[in-house]
Amino acid sequence: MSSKRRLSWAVIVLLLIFSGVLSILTGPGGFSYRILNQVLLFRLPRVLVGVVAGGVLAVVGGAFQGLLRNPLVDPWTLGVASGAALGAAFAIVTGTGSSVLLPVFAFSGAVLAIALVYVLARGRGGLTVIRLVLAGVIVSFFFSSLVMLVMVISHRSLGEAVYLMMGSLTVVFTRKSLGLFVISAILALAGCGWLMVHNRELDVISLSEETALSLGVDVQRLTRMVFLVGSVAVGLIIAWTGAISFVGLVVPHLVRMLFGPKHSQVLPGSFLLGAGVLLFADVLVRTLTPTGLPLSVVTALVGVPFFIYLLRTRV
Amino acid sequence: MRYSGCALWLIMLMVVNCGVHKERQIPEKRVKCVSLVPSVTEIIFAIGAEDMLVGTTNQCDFPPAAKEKTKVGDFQSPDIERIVSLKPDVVFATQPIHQRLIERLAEFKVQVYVSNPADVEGVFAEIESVGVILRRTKEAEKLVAALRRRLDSLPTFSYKPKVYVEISMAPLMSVGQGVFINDIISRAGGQNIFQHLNIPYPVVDPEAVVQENPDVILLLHPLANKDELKKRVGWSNINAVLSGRIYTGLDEDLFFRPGPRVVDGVILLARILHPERFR
Repeated sequence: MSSKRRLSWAVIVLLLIFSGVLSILTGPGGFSYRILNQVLLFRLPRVLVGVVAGGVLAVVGGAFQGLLRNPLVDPWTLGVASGAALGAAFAIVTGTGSSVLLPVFAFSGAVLAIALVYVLARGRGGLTVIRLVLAGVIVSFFFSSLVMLVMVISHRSLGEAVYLMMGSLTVVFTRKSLGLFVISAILALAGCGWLMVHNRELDVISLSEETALSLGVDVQRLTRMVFLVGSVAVGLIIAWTGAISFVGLVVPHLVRMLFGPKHSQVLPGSFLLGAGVLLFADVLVRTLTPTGLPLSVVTALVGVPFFIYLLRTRV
Repeated sequence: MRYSGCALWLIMLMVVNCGVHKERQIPEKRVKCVSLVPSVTEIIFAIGAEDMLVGTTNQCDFPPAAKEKTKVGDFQSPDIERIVSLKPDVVFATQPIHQRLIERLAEFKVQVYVSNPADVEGVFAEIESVGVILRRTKEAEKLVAALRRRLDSLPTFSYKPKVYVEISMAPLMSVGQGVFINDIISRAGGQNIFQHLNIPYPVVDPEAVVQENPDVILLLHPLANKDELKKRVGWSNINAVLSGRIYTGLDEDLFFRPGPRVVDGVILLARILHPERFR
């Protein structure tokens, strides 16, 4: 491992630790040992949610980008996030929002969305970049509208819908729902693990589909599995946090700049950096305004300029 | 464009602020009005001016007779065409929800009264203004006097329990300063734990709720569930949870509609906060 690469790893690990510590120290009444109990009960779960959410979104984003050889795809642009939000909305309005049905509906919504995108994007010439992005945008809009529709016709506040669409790390847990979250997180992390195990196939397929085929990779099967595993993992997380944008898009690119395109580096690097970035965004959200903001406001404010940079230089 | 917008605003402000001026402007014939605000609809009925009310919104549901009135759409999105077609002399609207509509109504030369009472005194002032506009001055004054008497009959409270009002669970939302219910809480002898926040409906950190340690919790949203609240991680040592003083199923309109029933809201809440004083 080159010393530059080692330094990069050190930087993203330190960023994660720094953001984690900052997140623990930030909260009503600051930090003191007198409120240690409070810190453990509220801020530790928050850090846990942030690490898992940021990590999973970034890893899945990185895997999708490699798989589709397209720098513009991520769980958000492919409609997976809106699909998951729709599932969560459905659970909330049917009064099952604190049961096991919440994560189940959310990942079902996510899988439904990616399946739709997959079907829409498969033309005669196979999956093309333009069709995929178009299908993702269309499905994303469609599902976002459905979220609003579901929330409005069941007389829920628009605030609720906005947070569902734009994410937050503030989750009011009961013991039962905390348990459910931990199970969801373990499953989502297992999904990320699966993607990391298949890093060699992703490397090959990200060169070109022909190369992958000639090396004996079952491209179609791999595509379907990555879509399935990735969207289930994202759905399991979005069930709790709502849809968070741009982490899954931007973080893998940053990591590729640091470590090059190999997925054995990109995916673990994305996990660490995604977790650090999201925790830091959450600290900003909590300190910038007295009342907090949806998380995607901050991630998008940073992410959009980066997205524009990508559009102008890389696509 | 910008200037004409400013000019419109000035005109609006003048119309809104000059109750007396307005009275002179409204022709002597029978006043026809449309109320886009459920609380104003309640006021109109309470001062016996309902025969002048030619249109209301789908949310104007109290008193029950209000449901029989012609509807001009939802409170959030009334239909300007239907409003104008009713040819009202005055329209009662509120801000910021009806801002765009108010500007358009001005183009149709329809007089608009903007209702926006910040507290209980504001409601009393509004009842009197509506009375002036609809020529029911005496009735309005009588109503306000009766409401004041009921408020004055409340004892003074030296102990002020801390109150947490939850209006949404995900995100966790409460009420801050400048919202009507904040004044109801203080008049009922309590203190809103988020009264220092200068935001009407702030999204709050659950940790902040626990730190403020409320004595009474009011759950005013559709997901309200006492048992769920008691089981929230980290909430078990809150005074209200320990003493079981968590309330659900209250009539939310008493707390969120700045109409004549506000006094019912104050009295109801005073009984909840100080049960020992009402035996």
